[in-house]
Amino acid sequence: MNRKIVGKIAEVAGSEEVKEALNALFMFEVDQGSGGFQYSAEYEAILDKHMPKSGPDREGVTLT
Amino acid sequence: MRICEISVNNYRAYKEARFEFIGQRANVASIVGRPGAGKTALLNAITWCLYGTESFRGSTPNGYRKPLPLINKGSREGGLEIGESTARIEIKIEFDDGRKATIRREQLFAVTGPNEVEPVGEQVLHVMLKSDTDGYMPVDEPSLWIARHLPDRIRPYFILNTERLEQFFVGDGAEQDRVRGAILEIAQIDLLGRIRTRLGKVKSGLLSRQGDRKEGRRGELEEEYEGLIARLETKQEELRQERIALEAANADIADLTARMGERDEFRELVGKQEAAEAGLEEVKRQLAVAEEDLSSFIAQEGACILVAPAVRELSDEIEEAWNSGRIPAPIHPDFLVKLRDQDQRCICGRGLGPSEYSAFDALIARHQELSEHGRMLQEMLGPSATLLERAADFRARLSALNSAVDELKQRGRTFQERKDAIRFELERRGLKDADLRLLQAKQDAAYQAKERATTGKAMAERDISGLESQIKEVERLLKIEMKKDRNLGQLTALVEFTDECISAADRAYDELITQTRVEVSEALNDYFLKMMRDTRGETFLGASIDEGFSPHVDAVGGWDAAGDLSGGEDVCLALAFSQALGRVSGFELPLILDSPFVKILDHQIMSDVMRTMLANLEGRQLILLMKPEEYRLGVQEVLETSGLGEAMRLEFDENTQTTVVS
Repeated sequence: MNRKIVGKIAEVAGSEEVKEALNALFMFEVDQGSGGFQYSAEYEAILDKHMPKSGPDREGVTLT
Repeated sequence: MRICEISVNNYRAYKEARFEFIGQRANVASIVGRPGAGKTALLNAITWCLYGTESFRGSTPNGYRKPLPLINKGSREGGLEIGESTARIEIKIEFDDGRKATIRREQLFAVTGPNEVEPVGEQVLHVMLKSDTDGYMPVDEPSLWIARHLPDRIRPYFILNTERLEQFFVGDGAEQDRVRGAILEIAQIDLLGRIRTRLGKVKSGLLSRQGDRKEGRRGELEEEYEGLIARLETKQEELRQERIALEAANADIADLTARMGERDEFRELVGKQEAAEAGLEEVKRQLAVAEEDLSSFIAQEGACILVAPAVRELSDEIEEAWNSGRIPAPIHPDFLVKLRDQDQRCICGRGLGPSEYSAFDALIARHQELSEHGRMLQEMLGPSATLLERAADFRARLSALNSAVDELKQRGRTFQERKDAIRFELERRGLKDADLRLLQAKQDAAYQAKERATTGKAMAERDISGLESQIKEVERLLKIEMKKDRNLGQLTALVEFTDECISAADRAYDELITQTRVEVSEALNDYFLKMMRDTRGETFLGASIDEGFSPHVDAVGGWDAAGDLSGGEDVCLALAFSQALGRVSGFELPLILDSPFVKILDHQIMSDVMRTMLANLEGRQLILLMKPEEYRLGVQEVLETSGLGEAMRLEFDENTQTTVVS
């Protein structure tokens, strides 16, 4: 099923970065099991990691 | 994936038991036991081993089991031994590709009394993978491994009991949610939904932070910064002016100081001039004195000066006369001297010839004359013996006086020349006292200007230093704000990116759930029809899950029989649904069913369903836990006919309070 979801993500993602971010988030959810915790910080870190880094506003800046 | 072996130690009803699913039981295994014999305990042993929780509520002949500690209580007579005891479940599994793994969970308990049992520490989970070379190797994160290979969310769809089977399609209005939930969970599409939800929260958080950043102090700080810079520039201009003024004052002072040097030189020249004039006056005074002295001296000593040559001449004549014999011997020059000194006339009484007398007389006369004159001189000048000395002295003094006068005159001329030269020099340089006073005033003014400029410069420097400190602080704050702005840009980009991810997750979610629903619906139709054809012939035309996740059973005659199925048909539909979920899930799950056929009263139907299930396992392992009558009525024959071996039987020994597997 993972392959099916990963394949669907690859199919619908508008960019390589979005695909990688969603894959990372999906694996994050798989690894976390069904715990009802808040993962905002982790999510943000994953998004930030996979986000395109081009452009002056996106260089050398950390969110935290 | 299939379960090869389950070992149970000190768990619930089991003191020590092992279930091996090998040989004929490798794909289909049946375990038969009366209520309370340990079937549910075995199901719970599986879920506890995998997930650390017991999922099923067991029963005893007298009712439901109390949630006592899961440690085996031991024999009724003896109870638990005081001390420590470990509950342990171990499941060995094998994947379709041949990989093998052992999952073991254990919990230590402290037994302090007959019914006093407390867990000690945490549960310990091990997952070991068998490799071709190193035997079993432990997995670093066993919980993670299980989450990836046997996620807890799909547990309800591979371990099913009667209640669960009955629940799926009960027409209570919530069946759509259950079906939808099952499809979402078995296909892990719910994870995409969770991703979508959490991305929404992340976006909200980002937008909130954006809002905070947009309300930053940058504008205010920039205004303050510009004001400070303007003030700094003003102060710097003031400082520049003060420095110029200071430099000018210093230049003036240096120039005036240099010119003041001329003043000193002037003063020196004037002093020299005054000294020269004084010297000249002194020389003139001394010259006057000297000339007066000279006149007085001449006046006093002049006679002597005049007589002295005559006396000397006379003496010389007398001496000559004496020496030549013209003067009688008695008349010795000494006598003449004596005569001169004593003014004696008796010299004429000695015997001289006429000529001699005549000459002598002349001499006498002369002598007398001289004597008279000498006497007068004697009277006037004193003894004539000192006359020559006095004359010589006179000459010397006169010469000295003349020299002094000459010298004084020379000095006077020198002084005059110097005085004239100084005056000339002063006139040449144009040095005047008035100018010098003006110069002094200018110098004083220059010093005052220097003091003002120094003070102004110090104040300006102090103000500039203060302003620079303020500017540095504002710059620091501005950098923070600018970083915030940059972060704002980053936040904006992240919000946009989050939107893109949300959009993609939404689309993946929608497409996958539709796609999976269709797949489940097709598989359900496939399994259900196979089951029903064996039991009901052509009564049912198909089964499906519609877009609203409602189950439908198409019956002959064009009506939906989903709400009118018998208990057995419902179970069949649920089993077909479970089979369908298993096919679509992508996980190689065994199917573990606890008392699946108890609601099917017709043993023929039961046998047909069993047969159909066996025919459509598609490689999926099936473990059946059944009550004895359930097994005997509809399953045993089918299994034996299919050559799937005898069932394992569970018996609960009341004496030892332990389940025995046979």
